[in-house]
Amino acid sequence: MVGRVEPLPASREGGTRMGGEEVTRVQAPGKPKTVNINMGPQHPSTHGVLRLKVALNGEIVEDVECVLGYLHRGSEKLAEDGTYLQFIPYTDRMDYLAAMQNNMAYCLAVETVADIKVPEYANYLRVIAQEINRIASHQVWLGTWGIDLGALTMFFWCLRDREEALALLEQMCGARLTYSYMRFGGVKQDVPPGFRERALAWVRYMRPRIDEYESLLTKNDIFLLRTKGIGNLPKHRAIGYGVTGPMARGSGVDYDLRRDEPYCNYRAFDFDVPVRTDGDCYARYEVRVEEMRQSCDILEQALTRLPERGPYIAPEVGERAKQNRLKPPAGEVYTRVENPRGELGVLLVSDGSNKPYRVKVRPASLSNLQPLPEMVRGLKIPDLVATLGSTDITLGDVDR
Amino acid sequence: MTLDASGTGFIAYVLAKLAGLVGLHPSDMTLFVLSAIILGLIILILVLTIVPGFVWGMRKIMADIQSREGPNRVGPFGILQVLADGVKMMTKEDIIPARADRFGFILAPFVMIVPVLLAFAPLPWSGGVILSNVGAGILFILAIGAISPLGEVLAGWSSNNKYAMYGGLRAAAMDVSYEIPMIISALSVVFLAGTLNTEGIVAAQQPWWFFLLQPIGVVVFFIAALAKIGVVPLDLPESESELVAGYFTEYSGMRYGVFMLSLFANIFLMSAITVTLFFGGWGIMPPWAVAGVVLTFAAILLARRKGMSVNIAPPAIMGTMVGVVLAYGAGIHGIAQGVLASAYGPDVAAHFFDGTNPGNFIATLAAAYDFLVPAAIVASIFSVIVVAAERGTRRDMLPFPAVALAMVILVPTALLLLAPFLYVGVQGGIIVFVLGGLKLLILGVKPIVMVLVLGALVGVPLFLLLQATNDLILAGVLATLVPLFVPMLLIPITSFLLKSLFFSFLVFWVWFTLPRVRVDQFLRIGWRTMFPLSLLTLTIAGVEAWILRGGAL
Repeated sequence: MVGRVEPLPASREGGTRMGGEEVTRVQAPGKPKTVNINMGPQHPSTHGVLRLKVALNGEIVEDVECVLGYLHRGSEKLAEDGTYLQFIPYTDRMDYLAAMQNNMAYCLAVETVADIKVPEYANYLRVIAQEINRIASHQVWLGTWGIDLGALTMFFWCLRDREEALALLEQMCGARLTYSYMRFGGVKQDVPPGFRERALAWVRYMRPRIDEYESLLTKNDIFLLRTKGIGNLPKHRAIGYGVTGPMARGSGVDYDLRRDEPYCNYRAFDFDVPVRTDGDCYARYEVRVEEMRQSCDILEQALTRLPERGPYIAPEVGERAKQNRLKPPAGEVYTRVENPRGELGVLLVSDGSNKPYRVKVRPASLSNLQPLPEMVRGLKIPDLVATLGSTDITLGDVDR
Repeated sequence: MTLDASGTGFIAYVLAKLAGLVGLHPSDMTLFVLSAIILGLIILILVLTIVPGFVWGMRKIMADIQSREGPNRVGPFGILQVLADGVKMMTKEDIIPARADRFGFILAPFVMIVPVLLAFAPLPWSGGVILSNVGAGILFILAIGAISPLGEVLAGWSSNNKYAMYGGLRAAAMDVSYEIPMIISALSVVFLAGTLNTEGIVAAQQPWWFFLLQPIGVVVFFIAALAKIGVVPLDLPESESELVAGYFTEYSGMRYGVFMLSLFANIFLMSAITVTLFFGGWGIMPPWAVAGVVLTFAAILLARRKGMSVNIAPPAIMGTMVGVVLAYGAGIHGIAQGVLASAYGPDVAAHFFDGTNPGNFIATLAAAYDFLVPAAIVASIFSVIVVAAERGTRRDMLPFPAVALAMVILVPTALLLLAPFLYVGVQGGIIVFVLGGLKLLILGVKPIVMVLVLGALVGVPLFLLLQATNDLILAGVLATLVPLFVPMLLIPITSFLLKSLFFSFLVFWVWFTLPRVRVDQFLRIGWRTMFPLSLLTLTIAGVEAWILRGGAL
């Protein structure tokens, strides 16, 4: 039996401690039986530098405490030191798997406070960039979750197909991960010739690939055993915690900002918002896989309707150095976009100068991580890993 | 010292002759011990050469399943990657945690690997090619194999790391769940064969392999074998995403390498045991099995036509290898029969190949080829079609057949150079060698020709050397065995290796396809499903044994 674990008296042998692991001893049964384990910040399945203090009774998770801050870079404070334009690259690095949406949320806030009208052509480009990014982000999630569950192959299949998504985004903006594509009033540059065909070909390629992903998991008995009824988050608790995005939709909260509070020109597209009511890992999986299909739909519509050419940035703002000289009038706005993880909000306070007075980012990952202890209490260690993976957090987004 | 049809016996015979050359006359006991040591070393080397090939094959198969190229930098097609990894592991710092239990920590990897290597001893590779023909061979394998989990527990406990401890405890919990169904399903085979001896079990499976009589038993056994190996659906003691690396979290360098070595040796061992117990051991594929291979390919092709994503390359290559080996054996048999008829008259040839002498496994085997020829041709053509259909898209898989063939042909050839049999005279052998070589050159089966040339290079000098002893029979055998009997002997070993490799492939396939089961779920499956099923299959085996023996036990 695993008894209570207690540090050894330091006198024994007097060796140094290795790797920060506490020297432990198993005590006789009959005493409180809790083993405390640190999962992370260096652990294969914490998806970055998250540290979980787990109290275990055998395999059963009695309690979890999330320790955050290992990736805190002070992005919000950095925003106050530079011009409005200079903050855009920092937003890339907050949720590095969904940099397009981060750019978008910040630019949307600035555009709202400065009252800039975005040209239609630029809106199409923004939607295309965001939806490609959404699929790419979900692919990373699905792949890494596969590894969490032991299905190694999922990761490689997802990253194989994500490669072309990154190539498309590279064509749009020249970068594969940190895009800095959005500008106030539009985007940085026009797409190159042949982009539309290449992107459409990718969308057509992706649909059967999503079925292929499902063929590996959806009806697999082991997968169902591992995900159905695991990590339950009831609807009222999801709302209580401020959980958003696919996680909330998996718990039955029918809420998607692209439909309920459209930005860019999302109003122009016809797409469904998948909702499941079970609130378990499997429901969240279903929602995200279905979202990839819906993103394919949006992309197809956007790419076919994309005008031949047009202004990709608002003429009244202008490009390059002019962007840097932007001085929005004093004011305070809160704008939000739907990023792959949920609601990404930006509170922007402008004092009329060329620097933001305050930028507060409301990330989805942080709220989505909060219910974790409640979701896993009483489950087993593997369920903890599966549930954590199903929340799809990015530590850059949690800590900023 | 008489010559019998076992590997040790033959080696002893050759040793006696060679000792006679230098004027020594060792006792039978000395010869026996020496020959056992030699054969033991051969099988050990065989196992330890298979394992690196295995790692390479596993990585290539994994890469293929995952749409990657796999190792392709070190050596042609990355074959030397294993070597590079080995050098890397050996030169890494060997860390023993300060507060670890040193004795247990150092001991644990050996507790893992030694039982795995020992368990190879009673495995029959071919008729007579067996390291140690233990009377209760299967009992020995299962008993020795049950020591390995102790190594896991020991490693987990001595590392003084909570993750390792959890891994070790999981290993202990799993062990009691799969070991019992495994032993009971193996027991059902013992019921049917009426013997615990591995050779006896293989012999009892001609021509109907036990998996046909024990379909439930083979499934239970294979799942238990997966748990024993510890690959993904059931790699709970290791479970990387949960326990970092489980019981060997704290190990580094070559100590870690020993765990990996034991993992791969275990994969091969478990596949070989499954083959020995349920799939006819070294027995040649009966026609129904060939038909099964063809049907499998047909099913895969049909599934692909229907748009299902089935990875075809590895099974196709397996099929090709089976086809090549069978067709090759068939060709050799035809030539041999013709030569024998011309040299000794039709009576001798007919008697030689009619299989009336049950002790002569070559004869039994050769007789099987007469009806195998058409089936082999069909299988080969089918496989070639499949591979041709895949050509162009699967260039990365092209070296696979070559390496696999080299593995299954060259290694046993090296083994079998020491194991000739006294059946053909000098002239007959030379004619067969010339004819066989010519035919194979025409067929263009390059690797096999290479084997033959290699054999000639060894065989002719041996012949010249041994002629000096005036023992023309032995000299003739050594000179002729290569062209004729190497392939003949090769076939059972190749059959055994191919079947084992197929099951190893199955392990890899499962490994890279399925998610991991939760620990309590596996324990429940073990006790609530596998255990009753194993009892059921034991009951069925009892009834079957009763019927097969005409109502008497």
